[in-house]
Amino acid sequence: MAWSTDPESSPEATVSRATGCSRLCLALAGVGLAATTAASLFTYRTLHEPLESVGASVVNHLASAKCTAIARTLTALSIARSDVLNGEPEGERTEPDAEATIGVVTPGSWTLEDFHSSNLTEAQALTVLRGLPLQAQTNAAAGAVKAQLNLASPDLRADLREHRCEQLGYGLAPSAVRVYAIPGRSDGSLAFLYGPLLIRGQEKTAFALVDLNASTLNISGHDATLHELFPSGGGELRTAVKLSPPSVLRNQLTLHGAMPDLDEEDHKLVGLRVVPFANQLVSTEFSVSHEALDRISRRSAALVFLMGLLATAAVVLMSRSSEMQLRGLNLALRKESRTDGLTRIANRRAWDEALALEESRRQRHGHRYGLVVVDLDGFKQINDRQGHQAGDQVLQIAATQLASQLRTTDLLARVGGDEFALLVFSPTPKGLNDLVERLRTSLTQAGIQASIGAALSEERTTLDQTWAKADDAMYGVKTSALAPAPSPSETT
Amino acid sequence: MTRVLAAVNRSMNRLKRALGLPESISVLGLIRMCPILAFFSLLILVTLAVLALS
Repeated sequence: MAWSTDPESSPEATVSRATGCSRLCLALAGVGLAATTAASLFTYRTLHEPLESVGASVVNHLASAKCTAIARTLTALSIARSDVLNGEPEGERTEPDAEATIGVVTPGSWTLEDFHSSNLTEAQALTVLRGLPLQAQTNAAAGAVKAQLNLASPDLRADLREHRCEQLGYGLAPSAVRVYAIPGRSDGSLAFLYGPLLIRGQEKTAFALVDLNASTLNISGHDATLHELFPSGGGELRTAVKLSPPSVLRNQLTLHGAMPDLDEEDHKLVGLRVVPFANQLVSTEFSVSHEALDRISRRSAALVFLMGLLATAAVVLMSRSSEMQLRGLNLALRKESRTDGLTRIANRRAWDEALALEESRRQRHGHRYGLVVVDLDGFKQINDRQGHQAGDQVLQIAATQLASQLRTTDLLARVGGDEFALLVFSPTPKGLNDLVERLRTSLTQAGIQASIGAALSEERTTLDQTWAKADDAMYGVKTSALAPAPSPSETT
Repeated sequence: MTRVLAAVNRSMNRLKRALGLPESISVLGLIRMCPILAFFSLLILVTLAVLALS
């Protein structure tokens, strides 16, 4: 059977089936995209605010403690003081920080001892030192220090009182620690001078040149936390140390006379007393990179969006795959429901649908169709005498013989037990008669006798009338002829 | 390498069959016959690009 009544079996229908997306797929895609977008926004919002909060709290802590700048100040003072007083390095703290330069200078001969530096040569250090007052400044008035302290903010003064530094004054005479801004440098670089002291007949001054802005992040424990948070390291959290007020550092500032009760050997106490004092000298500014913090939120949200997209795409594709499989099964079921199980040609359901379709075409376009009815003669006797298996074989042979005489546009169907029908598209009367003769000859050659009647559709006749006319013609042939019973044994 | 490519090819063909697409389909044909797959592929590529550039 080449003529098909199933519109979904055409290649065009196959393409259209694969092209379209079902409403279920579109709904799943829409819901998935909406959920993915919502999850991404939620992730961004959930991460963004806590990260900003963590960054702000870390900045506040570092700024309030000023831990990095003060740690550098204490280190420089401790090393300088130890070198001058003891004439030898202070054990484990001898090595300066990476950006600190320490040593002992003899102003008379401009020679350096115990010089340690990673970023300055001796000549460069001497150039800096020549711009500083290395001579003794033993008469610096404690009142000048106190006057400077009075300029400090109420918070700083409260801090000083807490550390009992309002009574600053210390008899380190004739030595004193003096802090200067380095001439020509406007950043956070400071010079700490201790001395001069008379050591082995020579006046010597210990010095420490420290850049408070350099590598300050590596000192605090909180910085380590930040480094874990930002594995790429520096640049995520920016630190800046500013000298404040600058006028203080342009003038000589000394601890001499300000700390009279301090034990010379008590380095820790020196540190405690120096901390608030140094706090007045420097202000440390910390700022976190909001771009870096926001990048974490953005990347996380994008990652969530990507995961959601992959999941949604997988669900949609699985849905489409199941849908295509279901459509294929429905198509096979539809085709099977219109096929005769024994002869594998169209059955009565397909015949009725095709006939109605062809009648509507005739009414619209005016072309004619022919109906041919074939009824096998003596089929009941075959079933009764030789069994139903032989009868089934006769039916299969008859279907094969009839189908071999049809064009691709014609339809052959089994419409009853031993009754076949043919729908012939747009035949001429002579062509229809010739077809009937060919069918009769083909069946006879196979050893099957059949009565065949045909009718051509007319303009004013209905489908039922045409069908009845063909049926009448077939019965006319059957009653007028005495047909011998066909035998499958003769055909095989 | 050849085995990996062959495995990828087999997987792609299996996916096309599951989606009701011919195995010899072109990119333009894929866009025409399965626009939702092309849409999601484009979205995933854009998201990967954003992730890489951010």
